Amino acid sequence: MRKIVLPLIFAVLAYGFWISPDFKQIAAGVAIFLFGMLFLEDGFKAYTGGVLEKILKRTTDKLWKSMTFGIVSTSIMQSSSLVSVITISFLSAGLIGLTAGIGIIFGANLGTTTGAWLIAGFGLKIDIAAYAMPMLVFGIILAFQGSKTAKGLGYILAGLGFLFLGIHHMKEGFETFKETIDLSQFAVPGFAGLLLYTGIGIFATVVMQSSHASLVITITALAAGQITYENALALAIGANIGTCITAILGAISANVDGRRLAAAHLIFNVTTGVVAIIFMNQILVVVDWIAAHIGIAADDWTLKLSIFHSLFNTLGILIMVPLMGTLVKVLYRIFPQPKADLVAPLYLNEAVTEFPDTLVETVRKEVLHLYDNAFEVLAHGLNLHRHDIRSDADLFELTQRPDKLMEFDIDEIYARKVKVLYNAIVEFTSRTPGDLPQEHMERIYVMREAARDIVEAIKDVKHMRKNLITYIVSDNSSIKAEYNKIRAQLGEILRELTTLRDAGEAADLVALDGLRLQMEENDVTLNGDLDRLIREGRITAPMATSLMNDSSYSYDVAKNLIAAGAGLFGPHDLGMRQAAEDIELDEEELDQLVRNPA
Amino acid sequence: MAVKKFLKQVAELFDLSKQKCKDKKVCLEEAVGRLQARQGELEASLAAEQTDKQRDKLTKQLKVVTAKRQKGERILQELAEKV
Repeated sequence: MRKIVLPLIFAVLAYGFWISPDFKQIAAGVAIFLFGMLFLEDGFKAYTGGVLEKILKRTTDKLWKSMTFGIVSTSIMQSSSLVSVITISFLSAGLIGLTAGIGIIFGANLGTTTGAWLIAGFGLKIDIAAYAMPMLVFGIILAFQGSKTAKGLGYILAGLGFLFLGIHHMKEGFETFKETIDLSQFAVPGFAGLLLYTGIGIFATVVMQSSHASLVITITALAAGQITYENALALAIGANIGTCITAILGAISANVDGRRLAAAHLIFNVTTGVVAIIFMNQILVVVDWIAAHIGIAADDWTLKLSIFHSLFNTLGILIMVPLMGTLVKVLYRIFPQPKADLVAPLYLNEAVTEFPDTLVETVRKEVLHLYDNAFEVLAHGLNLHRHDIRSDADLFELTQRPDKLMEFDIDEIYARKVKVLYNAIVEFTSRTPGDLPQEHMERIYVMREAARDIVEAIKDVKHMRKNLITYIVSDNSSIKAEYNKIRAQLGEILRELTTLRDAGEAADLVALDGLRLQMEENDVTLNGDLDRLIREGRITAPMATSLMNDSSYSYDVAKNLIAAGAGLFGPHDLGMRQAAEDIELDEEELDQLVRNPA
Repeated sequence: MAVKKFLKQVAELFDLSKQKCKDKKVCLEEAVGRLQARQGELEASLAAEQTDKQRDKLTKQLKVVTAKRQKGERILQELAEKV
């Protein structure tokens, strides 16, 4: 499809440039405008490493707040596409809920109407090209600065400069264009015209991937009298529907929540468009009434178009907000959650890669997902029930009771539930953007190490399990007791990690410190016990060598799990993490602590 | 009070509060301070704890926390001597 459409567009444009210099100027204006949009988006992205994401996190607990965020952010950034993409990435990362995401998208639709007001109110009435030039100069100088903030500001200024310049060229192009050809003679009146121009609006927006650009062309053409007011309204409706394409494209690489949001966006905009088409006459009466009351001249078609644009988007919100609950239910039915077997990554998706904080949080959540799956493998590998680990029951006592062996293929479950996630995490983190801030890079590295530690722990449990399932049902009570001790000790570590996981940001790592010491003590104790058991003839030589090997595996499991816990639940701040690592006791220091208890 | 709370929220938004730990010494001092506080809490818990199992657990935690605090103080002292 792309192979046909793209050359066709090139051919049409080339033909247009050849027959009309004015058309060339209009097209160049659109190109400059879109270039400005790219600059503007890049500029705002420079601030998405923290502020924008923090605001988004804190302002989405209520529907009205989400909508306000959508309105304000889109009004400031003049790009509903950027807001949509950020929202999809947040939703995909599980940082906000679907209702909040939909609220932002609804708000963004209303926020985008401020663009029409700005262009119609200022863009056409003042010589904005005069402002464009200094903005471009200052913007480009700032964009070459090393500081991220200055660079971001530079991109925003240059973006606005290009937007203004683009609008100027479009305006000029349409002005001179009407002297050679009057496009308004192609106006199609009535309902047919409404449908035709809505279709044109959709097409133009899909091609340019910017409703803002479509609106600017519409407003400038309307101001130059090249299209009728009636057809301009239809184009605005089309632009609104066509803008969903950005969200849909963004959702292709997102997870199920991202797709739900893109669908909500499409449903909202199509419904709003259909309502606007059906009630066009009634809406126009209201537009005239508002225009008359706020002092807009009856023939100021561009400002009246802005009123119309705001009005039908507000109408859309008024219609859709009461249906929000139903909409969410329908979306959950159309896009069901993947089966709970959780074999695929839940959070990793390309939609988050552009936003550093979201990226780190996504990786952390996926590693926690891996940990949750690993928890099952580890617990069952030790022949322990997960509910026992999560309970307050004494694990040393629990392991003494006669228990049935859990029949499960550890290799198969590991491959299906853990390895697949680990592979995805490694692959995803290897592709993180090179320009990611150092702190974010470090945190992603720590998360990846934590995932590796968890996987290593499983591998060691797998090795241990061969002897463990033999000896915990053995008639030899001594060897049975030693293996049960190992099970209980590792169960305690899993229990502490579960507590830390549930504690979230309030996690206290002191418990892990205690476990590290316990681990060292156990190692020492076991060595002493082993000699005694052999000496007293209570275990055979093969049993002793198995116990020696498995004691070593158990030590590694504990070490890896504690390291994973420190990585996952330790301080987020890079400096504090470094300080924690500096004062961490090494094995020799711990050993000394065990030997010199005073 | 409300203004102070608001300013704090704004500072948090712009990450200013998190940037307090800019150099190694400041970070270490903060970490040692936290360990000091935790040590006090553990000592109090240990004094109040009745069961042997919990006492054993708390004792181990206290030992490591104390050793880490001492190590942190040693590093801080070395840093001060270098300066």
